[in-house]
Amino acid sequence: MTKYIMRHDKFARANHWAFSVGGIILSLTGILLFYPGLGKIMGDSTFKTVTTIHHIIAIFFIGIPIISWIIRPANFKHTFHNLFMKWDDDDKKFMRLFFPYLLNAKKVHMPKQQFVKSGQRFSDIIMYLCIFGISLSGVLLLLPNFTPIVWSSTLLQIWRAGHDLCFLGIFMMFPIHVFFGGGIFQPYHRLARVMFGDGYVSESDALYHWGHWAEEELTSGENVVEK
Amino acid sequence: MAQLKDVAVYFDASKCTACKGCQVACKQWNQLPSALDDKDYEFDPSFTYPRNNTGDTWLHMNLEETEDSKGNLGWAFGRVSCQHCTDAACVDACPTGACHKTAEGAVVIDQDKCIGCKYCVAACPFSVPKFRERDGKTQKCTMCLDRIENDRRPACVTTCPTGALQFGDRYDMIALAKTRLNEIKPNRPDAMIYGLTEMGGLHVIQVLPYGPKAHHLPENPEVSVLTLASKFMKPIAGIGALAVAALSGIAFIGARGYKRDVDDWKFDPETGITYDKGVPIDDEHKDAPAEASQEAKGGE
Repeated sequence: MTKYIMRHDKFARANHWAFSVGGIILSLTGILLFYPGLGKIMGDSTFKTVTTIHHIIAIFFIGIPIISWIIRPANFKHTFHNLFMKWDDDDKKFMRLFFPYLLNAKKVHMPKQQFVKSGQRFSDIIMYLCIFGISLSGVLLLLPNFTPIVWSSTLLQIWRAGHDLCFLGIFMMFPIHVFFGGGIFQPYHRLARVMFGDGYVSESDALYHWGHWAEEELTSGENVVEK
Repeated sequence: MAQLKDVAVYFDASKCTACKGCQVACKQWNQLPSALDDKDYEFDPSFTYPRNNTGDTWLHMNLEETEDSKGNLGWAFGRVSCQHCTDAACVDACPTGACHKTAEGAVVIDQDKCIGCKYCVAACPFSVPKFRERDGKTQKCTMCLDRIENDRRPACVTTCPTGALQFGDRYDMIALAKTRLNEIKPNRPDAMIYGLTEMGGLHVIQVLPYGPKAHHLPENPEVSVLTLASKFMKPIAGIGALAVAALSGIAFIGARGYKRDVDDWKFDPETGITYDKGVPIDDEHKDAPAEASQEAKGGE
């Protein structure tokens, strides 16, 4: 029998996927506008359709986290608690060892981590800031389409540059998230299960990745099952 | 007219009488309607209608009573329309490639591709492109590309009664402007040629008797930092994504053969020791009894 710890429940997984699918569609439609050359491949008449899809999906992209925060405010609090928790010695060591580990995962041993690794905390903060920025600038860019607001040229350019800058951040952070979270990197193998599967992580994987959190969970036994 | 490569419209404001024939000809050729509502005809002290160029008025003539540096009073007539810049900010800002330059030097907006985002409106240092509500797209002068491709001059040029407007090879237009400047300079101390170097060189070469400001033109038009920032973010994003992909590839290769079984790591809640294949992982527990390791492994 192997012990498994619940890491992400159904609500968190549904939230993650609804948000991710929205984000992926927005990225795919957005990249055709970011790099017009790509859009040309799709045909000249595509742009209007692509923009319309982009605007509709944006409503879901912004709405999903807001609705989930209303339904489960505790999740919101939990997320922010994890993001901004005090960095201990293990966190600092983790960051120091991150690149050596990336290049030689077989030899380099990482320190124990909390529920969210310090490296992920760092990338998550960038991701959340970019997501907030791209949502806000997107709304500001769209406002004149359905309100009497008329932005000055400078403000319109600021919103646009902000939208592009945040897309740049997401564009670079997203592959990193997929590489680790999707279990493509060999030591992270099986981690995709926590979002793709039933939300459980094995005792072995939990101890390897999030030692402090896993030890707490295994000691309390509250979220632990044996399969 | 022979096939021209780099063309320009020449506007000599010193010969212009502000008859607005060009403004009307532009509307006629491009089938641009005038407003039919009374409220759109409010009095404007500039003596012009509309007050500026719009989505349906691609060429607008403005009138400015002015005084030159010698104190002479006069009328400065300005042509507000696309300058067809060589380094066009609207082209850089356009997210769909609708705004583009043609071989002739004209800057045009492909209406099939325009999504009405107004980025070009914001980017243009001359405030020329205008969003048109009725079709949700941005409009501006096309230099009558449909005419010049068929060996005809732009509509505005054909109708000018004083010869203030000319059209032809850009270098010929510059030569015309230089000749005219020499003629008027003794009486017009602020006279200058506009369009030689501004925005990489404009495709509307103007002789301005009273200097750019009086003719409602910016003295030093330039692409804003924000438009440039958006332009440079594209290659940065591409390079960044490639760097991430390369680093991921290196990490993947470096971790080839890495294996950790689902039961390799165990935790003993009683002792607080974590084991990897029965061996304590912490240095402080390296001397833990072997049986503890075995127990933690489930008595294997």
